[in-house]
Amino acid sequence: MTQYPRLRLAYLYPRLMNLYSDAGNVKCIAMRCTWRGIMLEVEEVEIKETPDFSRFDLAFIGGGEDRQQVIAAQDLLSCKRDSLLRALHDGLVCLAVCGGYQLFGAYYRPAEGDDLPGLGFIKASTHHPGHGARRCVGNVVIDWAGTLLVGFENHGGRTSLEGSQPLGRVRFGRGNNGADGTEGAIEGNTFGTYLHGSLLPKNPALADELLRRALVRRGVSAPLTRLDDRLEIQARDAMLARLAVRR
Amino acid sequence: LANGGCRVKRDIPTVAAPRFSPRLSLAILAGRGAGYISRRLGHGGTSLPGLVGLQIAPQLACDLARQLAGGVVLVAGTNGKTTTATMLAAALASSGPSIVHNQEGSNLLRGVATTLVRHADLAGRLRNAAHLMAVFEVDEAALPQVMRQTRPRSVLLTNLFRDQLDRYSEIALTAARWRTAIRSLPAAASLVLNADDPLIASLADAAPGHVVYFGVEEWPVRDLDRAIPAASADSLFCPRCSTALSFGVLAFAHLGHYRCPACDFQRPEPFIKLYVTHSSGEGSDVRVTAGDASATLSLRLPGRYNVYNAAAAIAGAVNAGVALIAAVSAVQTTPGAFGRAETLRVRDRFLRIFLIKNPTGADEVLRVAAQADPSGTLLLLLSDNAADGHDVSWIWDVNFEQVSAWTGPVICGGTRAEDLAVRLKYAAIVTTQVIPGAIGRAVQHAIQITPRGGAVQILATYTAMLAARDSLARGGYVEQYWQAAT
Repeated sequence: MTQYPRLRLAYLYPRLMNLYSDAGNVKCIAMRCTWRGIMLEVEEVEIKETPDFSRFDLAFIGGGEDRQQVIAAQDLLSCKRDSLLRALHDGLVCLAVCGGYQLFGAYYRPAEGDDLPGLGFIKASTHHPGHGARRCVGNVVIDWAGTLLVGFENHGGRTSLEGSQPLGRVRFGRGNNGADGTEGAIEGNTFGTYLHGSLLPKNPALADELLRRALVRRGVSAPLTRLDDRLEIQARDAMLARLAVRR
Repeated sequence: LANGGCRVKRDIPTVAAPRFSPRLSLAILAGRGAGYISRRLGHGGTSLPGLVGLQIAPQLACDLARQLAGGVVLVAGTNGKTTTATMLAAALASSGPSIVHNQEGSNLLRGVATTLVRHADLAGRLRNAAHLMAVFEVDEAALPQVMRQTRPRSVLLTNLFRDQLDRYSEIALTAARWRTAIRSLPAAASLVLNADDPLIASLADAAPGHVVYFGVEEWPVRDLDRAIPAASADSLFCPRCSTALSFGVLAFAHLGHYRCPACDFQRPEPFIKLYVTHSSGEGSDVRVTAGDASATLSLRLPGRYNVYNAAAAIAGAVNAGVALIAAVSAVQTTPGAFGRAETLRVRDRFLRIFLIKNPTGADEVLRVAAQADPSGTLLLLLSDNAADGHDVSWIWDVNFEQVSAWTGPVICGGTRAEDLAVRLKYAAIVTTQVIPGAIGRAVQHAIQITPRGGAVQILATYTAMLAARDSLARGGYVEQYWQAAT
């Protein structure tokens, strides 16, 4: 049996950026580690804290309300920027959802007011098209790595990729901007996406890909123990059938 | 009337002799006709008459509401509106007036208009207007419009939690819209606010008139009140300066005793104070004070959320001039609202139905359900129709882990039964069965596998609850055995 190293996950702003129940992603990774006998420590990282991100194997950030996203953006740049960027360049495996995804890009341009500078790790930027424009709200299906991911999106901003690869192609829903068919972004080991629902428990293949990358970075390349994902697949297939998206 | 408001002069009593308006009469006639047809087609007719009437006479609600001698009281907030409004209507009625109330929970402007049309004659006059007072529960998004149209004498605001984000917006935005609407209230109008909800309490500075706060001073089990808010709690930051609030007593979510460490924002001292001395899965014993007056409330509805519902209703009634003792007595005898902890006896099984619609409400309902016999049946129904919210992500913020000690069968149904089953799997609940498709099948299955004399706890989203009740009604059980939770 594979001896797994103890993994550490930095959960960024669990109280500030928790709008769309993205805590489910952390629960999912934690349970899938438990089922495999992998020790995982989840460390909550709040505003004003300045952790050394090189200690971590995984990081997660979710979405927040507008006002809270501004607080998070300011804190990200003033308290975490250098250490986090160094770790991301060094292969820290990161999932950034919705508002968190926007903050990992170059900037967010709101409907009114000043640009909100982002971390700039994902090569993308986000523009809000104005209060008259419709939000992108609804179920989403995307192609990813030969399989389909399902989720729910709810965002006003439109994201354009400016160098990073998309996470997937939209099969149903709006994705990054509702125009170019892309959804999310991949930059190194960082995954940005608008999908919540929560994303990982409904898409265990992606959860395992994050874990796999984190273990490879720690020198463990043996394949992960397979888990019984019938319930998850049943939930995904029920949504695909309803949306008439063919596999 | 650029803002679609009501043509009533400020600070003048709302009683006005109605002038005959052919348009208003036509609107009432058409609304009545639409209601008749709607009911004949098997619908409730709780919003169509108002919708039709408002098409013909956009000022319909305004023209009728202004005739109410007792004025209008509005109740709004994310959770507990229906129960609070029902309790408040009972408490106000105890002091004499007849109460006009949208008790079916049709809470958009059209529902308010429907209720008024039902009490109006074809000349556009409310019958018995001199003895009438209105209590309307109002949808969060519709509140500014209903405030403009009905010119309330008081507005009671209970709480703001995240709820159906694909339908409502962020709670900060809802609060900002309410704030604007509150600013244009007349000075004679009062606000009744929950002191324990930071965002609700922060609305006081927009009030042109009198503000009455209610709050809960003490809960019985201190050690459960860890002052660490759940991850799903919403208003954890100062509404004025965005600093993280520090909490002392915490009832649930972000309801509690808070202060901002950076500015002078803090929980205001309530006028209506509740001291909970004992609570169980059946209800709570509470001492209530209003200034020097005090009374004892024996609340037969379970859960901390119902303590807040009672507090809100008592505060609203006392603010309207009802004696504390009378308000408490009326609240105490109010049965559970439709689908809120009602108990049904079906084929010798005891079914208890709880409405769930957002993380905070569901957490509190689970806390109550978890006090039931864990060897009973737990039936969880999750649907994603428009009235439930299309986005079911919120189940990941619900603390299902608190029923992980459940030993009896756990059944998932509804249009998103599979999503719920996945959620339970990650809460380490392993006894789950999934019954997708018609909700009636899941209900039948839950009854069949429960032994006679056993209990079934049903937690359901709105349309799932209606479907569950419908299937029980078709079996003849709801009418026959309906009884209030006691």
